[in-house]
Amino acid sequence: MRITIGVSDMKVSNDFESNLITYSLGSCIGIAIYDKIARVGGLLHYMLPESSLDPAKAKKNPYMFADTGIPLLFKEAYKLGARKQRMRVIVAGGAQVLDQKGFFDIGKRNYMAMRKIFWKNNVMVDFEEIGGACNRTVKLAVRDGQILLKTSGIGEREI
Amino acid sequence: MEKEALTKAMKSSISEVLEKMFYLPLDFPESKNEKEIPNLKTDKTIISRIKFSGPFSGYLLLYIPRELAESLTISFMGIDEDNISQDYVTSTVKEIINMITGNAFRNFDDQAVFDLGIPELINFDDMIRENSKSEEEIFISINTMESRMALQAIIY
Amino acid sequence: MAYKILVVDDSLPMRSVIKKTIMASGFNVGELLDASSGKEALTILKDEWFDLVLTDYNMPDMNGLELIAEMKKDDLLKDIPVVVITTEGSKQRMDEFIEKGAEGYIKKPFPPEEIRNKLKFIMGDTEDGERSPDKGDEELDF
Repeated sequence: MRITIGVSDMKVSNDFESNLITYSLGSCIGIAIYDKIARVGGLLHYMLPESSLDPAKAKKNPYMFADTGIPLLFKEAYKLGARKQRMRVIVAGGAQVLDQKGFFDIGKRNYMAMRKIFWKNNVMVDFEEIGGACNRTVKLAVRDGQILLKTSGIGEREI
Repeated sequence: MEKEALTKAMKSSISEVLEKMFYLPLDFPESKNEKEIPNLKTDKTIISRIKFSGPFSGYLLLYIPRELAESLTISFMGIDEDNISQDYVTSTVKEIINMITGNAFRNFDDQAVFDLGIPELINFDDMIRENSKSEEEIFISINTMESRMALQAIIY
Repeated sequence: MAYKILVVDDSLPMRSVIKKTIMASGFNVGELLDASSGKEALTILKDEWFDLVLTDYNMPDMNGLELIAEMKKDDLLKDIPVVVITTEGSKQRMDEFIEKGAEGYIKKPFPPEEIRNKLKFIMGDTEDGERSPDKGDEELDF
């Protein structure tokens, strides 16, 4: 069963039949997590680094921002029995769209926001593909934690 | 000593260090005349200095507003605001200039050996004295989202 | 097997960063100590066995290479693996670390995964990717 995670969206699952998938990770960041013992997976697709940019929007949709979306991704996974210490963490996205540099490089800002949150909360990344000028798709199979990453111009591969 | 190459090496070092371990988005302003550092004479700006010697010698100086230094310390150590101390802040500033300097020379020429001194904090008068001795200098202004800092190389 | 690790660096924030990284890395860490100088490190090392030492290079009084040289002179310390974590950049210096007996080196600045990967390389993989729970969990957001 395919579960699509849109932009500014997040899903966790412990259903063997489920495949979580998110498309069009341009400057957005996709974070896939998987606990192979609890067989719980989660996928977050966020757009912006900080909810202080728009607190009203963050209240309506916490998955839009790194600082509100990332804690929820993990906490919801914990509710299904996942444990941080057992998680595999894969990250993709943060592309540079339209020749943006400096503070306008939202992809880079998104990535650094994630790194800051991860660091504070003792989360390490097992694999990342960040930056460039391409679009990415991430698929996570809850049955066994298989992760497929598709990069425009390169193709799909297992991580 | 190729000034342009060293400037480039310093800029990429600043980005690498501050992005990788301090999670700080930054920008280098285009204007070359921006040598003004706010609150320089007060304790609102921390000035750190590190000596280097090798194929050429001198000092690197880092100018950073105290408030920015506090924020960077919190990011670096991954701690909460309430757990910060001034000792942490001054030690972090020294570590920043230590890393930026070593990394800059690595970028500039990894075949050459540059020895680094121990970073220290200096006051405004020491800084003026340092500036008056220089033969050549490089001044790099750095913008962060809410603040500004600077890195200066003084070469004898 | 619970590992015992010593971190040596004259910078308190950097010692804290390295220790935090080690704790988050997935190893069964029994004891994690730190020293602010080569001399202090030697005092600690002479009292008990360590599985690994991570040391800075550029420190006042005794630098990282001098610390390694002292350890190599001592029968009880010479086999303890040492990794140098350093801002030094020259190829010559990196080669010197290895020649003088370091197991490896990590260049500053580094992402946390680099420390984890180096530790895995030296000490072997973690057990099932499971590690000791976060200490001071109350301070984390998740």
